[in-house]
Amino acid sequence: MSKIINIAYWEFTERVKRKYFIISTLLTPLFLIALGYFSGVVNLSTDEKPQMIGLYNYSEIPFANFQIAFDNVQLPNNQPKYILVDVTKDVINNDGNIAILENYVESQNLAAVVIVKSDSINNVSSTLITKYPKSHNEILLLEAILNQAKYLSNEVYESIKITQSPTSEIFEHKTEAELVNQFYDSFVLLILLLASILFSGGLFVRGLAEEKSNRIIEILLSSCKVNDILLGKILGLSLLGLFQILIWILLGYTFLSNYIFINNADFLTLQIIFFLLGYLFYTSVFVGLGSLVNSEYDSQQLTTNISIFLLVPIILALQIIEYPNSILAVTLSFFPLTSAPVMLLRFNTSVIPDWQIITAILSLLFFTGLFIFITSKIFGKGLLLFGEKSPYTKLLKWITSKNE
Amino acid sequence: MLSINNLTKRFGKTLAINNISFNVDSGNIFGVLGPNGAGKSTILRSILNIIQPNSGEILIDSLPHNKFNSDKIGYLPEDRGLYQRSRVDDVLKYFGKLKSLSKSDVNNKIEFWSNKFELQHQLSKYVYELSKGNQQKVQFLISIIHDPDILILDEPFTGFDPINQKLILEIIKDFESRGKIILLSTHMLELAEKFCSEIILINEGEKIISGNLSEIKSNYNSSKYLVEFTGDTESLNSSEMIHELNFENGKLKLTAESTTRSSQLLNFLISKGEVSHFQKLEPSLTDIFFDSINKVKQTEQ
Repeated sequence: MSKIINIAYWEFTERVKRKYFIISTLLTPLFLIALGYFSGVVNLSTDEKPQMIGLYNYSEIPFANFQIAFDNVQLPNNQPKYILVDVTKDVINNDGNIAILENYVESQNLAAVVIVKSDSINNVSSTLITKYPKSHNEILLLEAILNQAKYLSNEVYESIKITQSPTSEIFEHKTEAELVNQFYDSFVLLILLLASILFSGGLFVRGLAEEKSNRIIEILLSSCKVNDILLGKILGLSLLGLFQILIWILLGYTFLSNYIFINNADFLTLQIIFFLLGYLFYTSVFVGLGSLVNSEYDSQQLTTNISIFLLVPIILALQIIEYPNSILAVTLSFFPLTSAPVMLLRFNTSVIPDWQIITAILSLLFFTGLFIFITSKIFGKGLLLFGEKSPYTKLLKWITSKNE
Repeated sequence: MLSINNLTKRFGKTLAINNISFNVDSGNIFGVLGPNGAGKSTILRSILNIIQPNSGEILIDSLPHNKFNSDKIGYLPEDRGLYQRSRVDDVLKYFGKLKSLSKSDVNNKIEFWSNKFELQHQLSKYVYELSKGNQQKVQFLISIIHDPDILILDEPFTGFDPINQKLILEIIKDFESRGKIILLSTHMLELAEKFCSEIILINEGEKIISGNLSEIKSNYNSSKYLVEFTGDTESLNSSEMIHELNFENGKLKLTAESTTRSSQLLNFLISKGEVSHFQKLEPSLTDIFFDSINKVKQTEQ
């Protein structure tokens, strides 16, 4: 165990001191700030108009409180985001028929109707009726507004949660500004994940190529078991990634908190889980395939090949954000090479069914375990390949062979 | 004791070593000798458990080699290299700790050996800032920093100047005197015969000869002579007894035909002139190596 820790410590400390690591760790947030600035400029330049929201208020909270809370939210162009209309009298006799309410929303040219009801013990429930389902971010915003209205009254209520109707998304209608915001929010985490994987993975593979080309690996192999080296390197690389992410989180909270984290607070835990699982999966890929490289050129080629898979979510990002529950988005969520980045994109833009989250987590765990198993098979043999041009052809033989 | 029994290793269709066996006792320097590509490094890597032989057995103190504590083995690979962008003291600490040395032990050893190798002012430098010779010293230091019971050195003198070769040799001799097992491979046969007590000579993966070096030499029938001769040297060239004739520092160095006896040769020389010095030369390892290979080839034909 002490050898694993020694190797992990070495891998971590030697890479964390490298200029490449320090520069990449600092440059990535700068890139994101630039992207955020661009996003803000686009946002301001879009001609977003106030939305008419109908309030069906069947609670003890006065309409005026809702009015104040809704008026507090403004668009970047300083216009109010919502214009609140009291529709309580108009829909009082509809018996909660969703279809009729949807027709009502459309006939009155409303963006939505918010139904607020309180029961005998003053618990308040709220249902949002829209023709097109609202994004998760906007639901959070509306909940915040309703809770603000609640605090303005003297009554004591539980926190208000909104149930959206219809719950199934037929078509998500998003404004350009919404798309730009969601694109940026989602992209921040995606870029951080990809940057983290590629920077630390690239450093690792280059280090392994150096160890092989100057035969340091022989001294390591004569001092430790292959699996000790494998685990030590995975642990060191994981620590390196976590350290980099920690720096970014601290920088993010310090400089970018308004852009990134506030809207995503509810999903932060799940996002971190997918971030870590994605990082661990790609770490195992880098360690396994990294053992096959012999030179700086090989290591660059490998990093390029892996980054092709990571580019898929970037290329499809806009489509995934606009249609987060499309077959493409859901399928890519379960495919291990794209699962983590795609899920990070989807979290900000849609309510993801629990079964999809669980399946994606299980898929990532399974394939990470599988890849570590495969890596343990090829790592030792790959380390002793010096100068062979295409060891990839031997992979299947190694994987299916019994351990010696 | 280190025992190698019937070791065979193939790389694909290539037979790297074939049925190699030898024993190395404590307090001995054992030479694994042969030309480049003979299979020397394959034997060393098999002992170190870096590669797995196809057949055969390696025992260290009666234990299978993969059960033996690797912390008691020091290894200097043939191809040298270090972490170029790391500090020298960090590299030494890393490998010392990998051999299970405590932090204080590592620091003490680094201080002792860096003084011995005159590296004390290089410790805080990055490896790439060191001269090639100093990098070689650091690498050698890595192999001995934990005072191993078994020292395996692959071409240990390559890249060292004569002064440092002497220093390395002194350290190896010190390990020998302290009862350690020392196994070294080299293709520099002249150098090896100066300090190896036992050897195995291999070529193309096959054992040519093995055993105690003195016994090997005494059993070998040398046909080389050093002669101080004044007389008709032209007539010597035409003799059937003499295979090869060279002048070296005013003396004749000649190789007799294998069937020629010393007394026959001396009588022949006296008949042709005045002989003031006649000495049968001890065979060098290089002589033995080439002769042995020739014999193997002749047998195969």
